[in-house]
Amino acid sequence: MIPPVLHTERLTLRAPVMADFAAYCAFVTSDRARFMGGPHSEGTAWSWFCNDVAQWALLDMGGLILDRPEGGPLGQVSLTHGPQFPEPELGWFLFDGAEGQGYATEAAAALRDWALGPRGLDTIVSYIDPDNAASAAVARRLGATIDPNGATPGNAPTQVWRYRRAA
Amino acid sequence: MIARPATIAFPSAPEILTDRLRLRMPVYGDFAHRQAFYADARSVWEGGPFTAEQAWRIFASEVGQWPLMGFGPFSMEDRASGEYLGEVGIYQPEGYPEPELGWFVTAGAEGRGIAAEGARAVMAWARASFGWDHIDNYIDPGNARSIALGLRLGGVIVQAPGADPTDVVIRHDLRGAA
Repeated sequence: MIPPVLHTERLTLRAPVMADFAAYCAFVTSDRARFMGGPHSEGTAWSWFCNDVAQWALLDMGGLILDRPEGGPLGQVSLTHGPQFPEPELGWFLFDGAEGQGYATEAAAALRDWALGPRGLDTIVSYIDPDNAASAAVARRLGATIDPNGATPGNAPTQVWRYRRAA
Repeated sequence: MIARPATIAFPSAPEILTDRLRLRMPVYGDFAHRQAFYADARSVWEGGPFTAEQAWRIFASEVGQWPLMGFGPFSMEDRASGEYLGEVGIYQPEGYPEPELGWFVTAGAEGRGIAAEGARAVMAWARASFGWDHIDNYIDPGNARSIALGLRLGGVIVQAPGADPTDVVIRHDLRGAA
């Protein structure tokens, strides 16, 4: 499908374009990607970047870049469901310098609402490293709760935070 | 040097018909074939065998080239039966000096000229769409079948950078392709 464009109070969430790769790559190859198994190589960054885009064509979901009227991209939110994930996963990360201002929560809330609304999913999850307190706090603010019975991808020490469509 | 198109004219693969083939945008269901190929010893010249997760990473990242670059892989189907036969397309992951022409066919589609027919159609499309005067294959020196096919398609071995320093680089002159 053609990726949606979502608007929040401060952000526009839009499909990634080539020009976003430099910032995306800087994140994935930095220590800030440690909760995603990083830092990773540039080749891995490229593979992930293309993957998040490709899922719009293959699975009707994927990555959206957090953009704003001035100042350039701030990060990415994504809804992805590659074969390694038992369920569609809501994920996010912020580029260096964008933390602490509520951008991840604002963007992830919009993509959660799209996933559980127009996209028609009943439930989605976030897989979060138990040591990643910042992301756990975002999931909590978004109304997710830990599902102790949720299936996890691979053998990673991951907690499953679950979101459900409002009754 | 050929360059990526400045604008994304093809965010998704167009349909191309040849005598026997329908070339189209890959879909999720094609992944099972790619996974089977990558799990098999036939994928040794592509760096395989690969796990299912690695196979997905490669497959999906190539599909993602379409919206990002305006070119990418086409899935090849038998025009009459709809049977999946393989993939042909233009690839430029990180580290490739130029967009590259590549192909793979399923085990059952080998030896029938499927890759050649798809590759000719993609070369003509690339010439007509982007005006490139050439396109290269980057092939592992041990992959005799693909080298033979590249030469049969009219390509010539050139001394040019590939994806890997040991790659055989076969260049196809596109100036008469479309």
